[in-house]
Amino acid sequence: MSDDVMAEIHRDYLFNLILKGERDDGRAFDEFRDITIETGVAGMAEGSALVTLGDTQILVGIKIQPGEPFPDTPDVGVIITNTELIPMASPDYEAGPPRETAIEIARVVDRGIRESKAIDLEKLCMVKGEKVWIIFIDIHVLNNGGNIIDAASIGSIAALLSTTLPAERYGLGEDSPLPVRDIPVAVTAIEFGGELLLDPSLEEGKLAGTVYTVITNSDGSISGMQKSGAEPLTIDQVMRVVEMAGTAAAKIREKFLEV
Amino acid sequence: MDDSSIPLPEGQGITNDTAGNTADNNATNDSDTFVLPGDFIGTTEEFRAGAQTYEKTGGVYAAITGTVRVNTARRLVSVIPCTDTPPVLERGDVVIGQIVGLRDSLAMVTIAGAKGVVDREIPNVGSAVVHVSNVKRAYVKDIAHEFGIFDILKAKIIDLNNMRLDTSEPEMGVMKALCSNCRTAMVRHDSKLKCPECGRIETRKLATGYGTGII
Amino acid sequence: MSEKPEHFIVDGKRLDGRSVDELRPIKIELSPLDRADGSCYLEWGRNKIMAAVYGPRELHPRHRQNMTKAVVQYRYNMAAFSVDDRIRPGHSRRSIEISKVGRDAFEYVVFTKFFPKTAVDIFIEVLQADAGTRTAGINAASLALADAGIPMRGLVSACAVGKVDGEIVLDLMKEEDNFGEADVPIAMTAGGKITHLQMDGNLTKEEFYEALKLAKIGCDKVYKLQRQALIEKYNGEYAENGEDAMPQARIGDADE
Repeated sequence: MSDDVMAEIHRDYLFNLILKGERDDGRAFDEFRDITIETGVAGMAEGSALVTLGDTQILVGIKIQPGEPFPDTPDVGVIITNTELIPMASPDYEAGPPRETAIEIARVVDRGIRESKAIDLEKLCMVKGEKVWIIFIDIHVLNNGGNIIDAASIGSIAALLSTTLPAERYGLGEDSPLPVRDIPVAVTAIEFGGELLLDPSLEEGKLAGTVYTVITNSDGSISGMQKSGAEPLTIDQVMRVVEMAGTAAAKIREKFLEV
Repeated sequence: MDDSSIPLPEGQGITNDTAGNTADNNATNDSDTFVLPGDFIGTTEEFRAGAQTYEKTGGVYAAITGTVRVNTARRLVSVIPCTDTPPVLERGDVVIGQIVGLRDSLAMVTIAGAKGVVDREIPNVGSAVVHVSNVKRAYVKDIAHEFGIFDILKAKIIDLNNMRLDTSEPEMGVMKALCSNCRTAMVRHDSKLKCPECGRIETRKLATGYGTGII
Repeated sequence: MSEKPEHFIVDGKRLDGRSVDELRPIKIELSPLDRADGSCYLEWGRNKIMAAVYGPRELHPRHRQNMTKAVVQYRYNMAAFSVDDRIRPGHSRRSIEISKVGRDAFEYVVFTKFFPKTAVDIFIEVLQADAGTRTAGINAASLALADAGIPMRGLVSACAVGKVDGEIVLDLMKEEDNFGEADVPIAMTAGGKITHLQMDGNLTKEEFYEALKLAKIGCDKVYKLQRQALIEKYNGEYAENGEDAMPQARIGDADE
């Protein structure tokens, strides 16, 4: 309630800035905040990455264990993605089972990884119909500074790239790196005051009527999208975000070469 | 720990500061004594416990992390925080609130935040009132000409106990108002407000920063 | 899972090379999170713990509000990937118990009477678990509370003591925790007021008293590190030369 009133006032402030072509933190409309990626931070996990995107901090951990495949896909491995919006990360988050926002984030990230075929799931089948590797991607949001979805997407693929298949632990042969073939990157935009802004900060995200995420791959193809929020987008706006997302994702992908 | 206390260096620390000064010294000294919660500051014979300190078994102790301030005249010690602390409203503070009720001579306001308080909840902040005599410097015949329900106000605290606010200064007053006809945010038009949707004109005690979002 | 070693102590050295009264290395970072009102990241051996504090803030639901004081809430949670076998996210009976006694460890030190009707929320996230996550969590929480500027009687410091190979040892590592004869996590104020005490295993009365003495030594060591971290963060002027260069009041707390 009180938060809403302060947000109302802040909306005017940000709106006036956007009319002048500015953002609160001095960024250009298509500019991301600083990104850092650190892998191997969670030592009990088979792979992990701590990602910061501006003030947002997300730790992604990968656990892998053998298990049964789904009956309709007996010859491929399984990916299970889960997001925890823990109450530590924001005064707005409550303890308890994941709410719709957490589930939406997990599913969008999951879609990007799955549909890009970044993970060669066929290689994760050990015995058809009986035994495959199950990959758990757990997205642990530590500090919500806005645009969780892009940070979660970057963190997930960075963690997967650092993951080892723990075959020795289960007496299933030698450990090997998880086969990762592509780097899908989610890029999120908001529409505010008629302008499109990439990588919304926390405040910008709160004011946006609509958040639009586009996940692109190394070859420029698209492997996932999500429009979230009540405000409509024009066809032109959607096309512009697709263009902006491809360019921004290519820049972000370069970050992975530094890790 | 019990027996690991470090002796005060010569000429420094709170005990020595005051030992040489008598009560005729009126000054308030910010000493450079840095303390953590639980640190012993002095005895209750020397001092009374002021802000962010507490008394226990004859001693005055720090309750937070900061530096010691001594008011030698009043024999009062307090700790000036070095950390962020839970915000506390004081007389003269500028607050943002929403009008939730209008009476003949009063506007009821729910306080939402305060100038200078960023990203931290103000504990136990609740409702406040603006009396008709504190709306503006000129005579107000009808408070409904100055405020509307759900308006967002910027106001100054003039009485903390009864939580009374004042909007008579030019920077104080309505920061954002919705059209009473169609609930669209109204736009400033000279000294009045105009609804960009339905064209309705309304009057308010406007803050100079109406519509800017600058607190 | 590793197997039980034949000996835990050889020539006075433990499996990781420590002596019986030695702590694992501790690393502390204050205020790593900007949303929380106070926060602390703490590494203790291979444990990685994040603690955050929010409040005092409005407590929901209202019927849980106390008209005379703040309610301290403590949530201990393990990340799914913090242990060898992935754990399902959400509360377990274990995490609920640890949260409960964690809250108890702080109710005495926080000046709750200054903030009636509110909640002081303490959140502990175990990102990587070795042994002793609950005591590591308490140490991090204590610093996060100080970082949030919440008035307190003093810091709380915690460590575990236990028994392996018939000897009382400080700060159990994983193998000692899993296969040892006793585990006693303890938290206390600098003045020695015990705010948290659990015991699991088998000890004679004499062994327990010895363990208690060793726990005090361990908590003192932890307390010094907590002090140092706060000084380095908030009193940079003196941090370079260490605490000794600082003009200062007597350390300790009111409960001596």
